[in-house]
Amino acid sequence: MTTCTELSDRMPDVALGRARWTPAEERHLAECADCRAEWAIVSAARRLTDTALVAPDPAVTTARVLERLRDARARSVRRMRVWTAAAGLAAAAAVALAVWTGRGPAGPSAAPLSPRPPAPIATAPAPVAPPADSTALATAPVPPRVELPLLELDSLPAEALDSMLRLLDEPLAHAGPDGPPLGDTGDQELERALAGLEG
Amino acid sequence: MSARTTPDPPTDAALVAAYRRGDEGAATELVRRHAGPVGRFLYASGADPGDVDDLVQDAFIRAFRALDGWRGEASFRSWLFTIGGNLLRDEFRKRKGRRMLSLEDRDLPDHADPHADLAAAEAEARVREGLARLPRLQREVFLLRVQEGSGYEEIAVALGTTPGAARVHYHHAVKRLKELVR
Repeated sequence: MTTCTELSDRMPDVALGRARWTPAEERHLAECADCRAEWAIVSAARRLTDTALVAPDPAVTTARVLERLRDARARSVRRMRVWTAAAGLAAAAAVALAVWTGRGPAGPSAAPLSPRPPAPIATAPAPVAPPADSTALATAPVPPRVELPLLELDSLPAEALDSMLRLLDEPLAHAGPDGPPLGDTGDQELERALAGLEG
Repeated sequence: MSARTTPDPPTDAALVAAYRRGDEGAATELVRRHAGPVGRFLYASGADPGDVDDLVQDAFIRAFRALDGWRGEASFRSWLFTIGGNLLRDEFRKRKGRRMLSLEDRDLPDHADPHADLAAAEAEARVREGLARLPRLQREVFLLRVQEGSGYEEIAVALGTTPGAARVHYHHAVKRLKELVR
């Protein structure tokens, strides 16, 4: 004998056309008002899926979905490029800073990235311009090799990188071929930049 | 004469894997397969017909961006239904609980027996209105069962519940719909 629960469990399959009522089930349905009410609801809910009104056009939907996905991907790639460029710029600036400090008038003393007394720098003008004669070149102290932990830049937050760039911009911008010598005015900025590099 | 065999269509899982490798054709096929059922699910859940297209697109966009979240335990379509259900819930919230249901814009079928069709259309409209009033889980279990023929096991995986709980939700939904539609 068919029970209401058994009939209820079979309703979705019959509504979807995957199964048919057995004679016993049909008899039960004819006699049980509760099951008939449930069947009316299930079959009406099933018919809702036939509504052409809400069937989106697959071609249109696909085109729009793919377009939006491509846009999102392009935005993501652009963002990634900007960050890569910013990181590269920061690394280049750090290298430039290291070169400048390494070639400063204090010579080898610039190698350890530690605070130095300002006096030698202040009294030694224009370290940027090369010496006029070749003897000076021969006697000039060899700049020490400065090794920067560039990989650490990767772990720096964007704010720290920006701050570092701002600090680096000032002295480098004024150190053009005709500008004031770096050692004259940039010492404090350099110290701040070094402090920034050292965290 | 040689018998021609058509290759089996790729499974959803294979298409998802292909899309993740960069094959846009796989995404096209997934949308072609599932856009209609997702749209009808959303409509039956109370979405305004004018919003269905946008909701379907949003569901696919969200799905393609979060393919890691589909582990293949439930069918891809059930997973899309879940995403669509979430979007619809957000839409309801945005509209401050106002139901998106609109019975007036329902096109009536144009068949041979207008009286029977009218009665059927009215029954569908009442069921749809009742569905929109159900708690979300009851509605989704009911629709997955009735429109997709999903078993309780699959529904449970798709909706993050147990098969027993899914069965209870289904019967609660039927009971409440009987009261609402009466």
